[in-house]
Amino acid sequence: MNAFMIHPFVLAAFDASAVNLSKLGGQALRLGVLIAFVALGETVSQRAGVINIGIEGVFLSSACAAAVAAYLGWGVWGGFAAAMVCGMAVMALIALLVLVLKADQIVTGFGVNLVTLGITTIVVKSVPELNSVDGLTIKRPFGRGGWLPDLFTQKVSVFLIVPVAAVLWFVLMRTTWGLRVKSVGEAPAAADAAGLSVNRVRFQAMLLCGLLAGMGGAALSLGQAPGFTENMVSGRGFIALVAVIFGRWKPVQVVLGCLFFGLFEALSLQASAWGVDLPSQLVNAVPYVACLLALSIFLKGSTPPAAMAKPFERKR
Amino acid sequence: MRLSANAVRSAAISLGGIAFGFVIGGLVVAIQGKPVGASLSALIEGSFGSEFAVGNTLTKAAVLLLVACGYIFATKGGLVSIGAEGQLHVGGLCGAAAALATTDLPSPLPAIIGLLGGFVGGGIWGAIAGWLRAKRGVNVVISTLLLNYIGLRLVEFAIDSKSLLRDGDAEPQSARIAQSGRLWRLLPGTTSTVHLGVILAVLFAVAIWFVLNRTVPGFRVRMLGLNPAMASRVGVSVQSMSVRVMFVSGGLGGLAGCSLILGEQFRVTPGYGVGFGFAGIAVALIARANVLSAIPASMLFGAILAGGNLLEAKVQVSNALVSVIQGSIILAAAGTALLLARTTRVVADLEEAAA
Repeated sequence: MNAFMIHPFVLAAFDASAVNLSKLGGQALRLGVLIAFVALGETVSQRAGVINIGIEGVFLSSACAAAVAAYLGWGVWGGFAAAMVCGMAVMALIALLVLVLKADQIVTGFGVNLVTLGITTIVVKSVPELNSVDGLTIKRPFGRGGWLPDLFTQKVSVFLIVPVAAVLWFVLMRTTWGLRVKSVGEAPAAADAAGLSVNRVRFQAMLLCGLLAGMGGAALSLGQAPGFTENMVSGRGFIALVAVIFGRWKPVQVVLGCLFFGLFEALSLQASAWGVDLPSQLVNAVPYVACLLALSIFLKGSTPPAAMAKPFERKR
Repeated sequence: MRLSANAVRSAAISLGGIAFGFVIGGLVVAIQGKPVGASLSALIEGSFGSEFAVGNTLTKAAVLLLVACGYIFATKGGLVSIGAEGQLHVGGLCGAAAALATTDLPSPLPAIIGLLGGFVGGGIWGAIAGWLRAKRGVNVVISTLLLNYIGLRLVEFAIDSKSLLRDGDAEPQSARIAQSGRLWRLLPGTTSTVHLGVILAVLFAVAIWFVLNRTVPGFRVRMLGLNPAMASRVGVSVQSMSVRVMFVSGGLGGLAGCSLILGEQFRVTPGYGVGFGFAGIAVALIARANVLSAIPASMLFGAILAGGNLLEAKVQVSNALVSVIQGSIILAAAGTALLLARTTRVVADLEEAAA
């Protein structure tokens, strides 16, 4: 029971026999991974010096696109592809604004979030069938109820995070392109002097961000839920933003940060089943409080990419 | 002369952005096969078509304006706070609690105490983020985001708990605020619900402009935003100023919550003001962080919000269209910032050449 010592309230009043660690872990993994795809995308974008508040809208619109594609009969992987294309398209729009028109990144993000919220709501209201796209959700490679504990009977989309994170770590930390991304985020003037096109590299990074956020969107509307509902992301994109800072802009740590949030979200969801006698609203706030505490305890000494949120303009 | 030429150009660009928002909105309506003209007239009827509609526009604008002032105040101090949503809800909750606790006092007192309570409540919610920034180096964008969620849960908890604000067993909500705790109706006897909050919001906007631009504390705030290193050299404590700036910013958000609760809703319900915080920040953004431009900008967004109510009823267009129009206006404002800077520069160059 050591794992629960960290939460004194839970320890005070809960029914130990109802605790199912495997179920908790499974839920934590599911909820954490959902955010992790998006957070990895945001990591690439921020490493290139673009803080993308619009990630919430990219996440939401690609979740919607996945459901629409599945509804049109393109199948699960067609849905995944549609979500990735949609994520990249929205990111290309953001890139047009922040790279070409040098728009303020935070203002742009806000606008994108509002527009995508409006459009996806209108879409799902005119096609209510998107709420539940029958028989088109992602499969589990290992069925439930077999010899494997719940922790490992996840859907394919959950397992997918492992290769995705590994590839992204390699690309960002071990390839020339990764070095370029980091250099346009840290010292764009130097990168420019060395012959790199700062905005081209930033554009590529933003497209990759859209691709990854699109995976997250598909994992949400086809994996976690059986379809798209109004504003179904409801702040998870923002949590991904938090995870990037929590993970200090390093891919592996960012994924761990997402799992940390997922664990607390799972804890708060299971608390009542364990007989925890606390007001549900306070229990629901636990993941956010945990995030805030963790940030204020562990954050000291981490610095964001130096050119974050600054448009690049060559000095004349 | 230069000023007026620039003013005309920036006004033209802003109006162009607004027109862009409505064009996108019209396209979305047209794609759905709904009547564009009828939708626009429903929107206008809902925002300006009657005494009630105008009142609705004004009261919504007041809430947005207060939020925008709070956001701009923090921005001037170099802090990007997107915590208005939480500050508004916590502030409105505290305002209601203060007004309810003092409800037996003579007439204007409970309302005044309620407003103060709301300012302090929202202020504390903002100051937490300022403190975390000052002491622990936590990015304000992130802490205010998280505090939004926590604040909303706090409101739900307070109105669901008998020992706090819950009234009755039917639904989780607070008691109704008595007449003594309400903000005065400005036009009693009419259908217009316009209340004192509207005047307060404009007064606060002007006051914030004055403080920022004409007083020493305001100068310190701006110095903090423009050059924190220099500010600390000349003896402005960056740490304590961050906390104070966030207190004022959050307090304004709290007043926005009070305007909703003490001015129109009269009781706290779960998520009573969801969306106002982000819409208010949007107002600040299209006003380009200028408190005085936020006054017309809040009117515009207030009108779109108020008009959205009739969209669904009259032409069966989802009022999610409101988000599309508002978002497009914001994107246009963001995208034209460079254009605006260029025209001002060109004008300046031309006039310099002519002189």
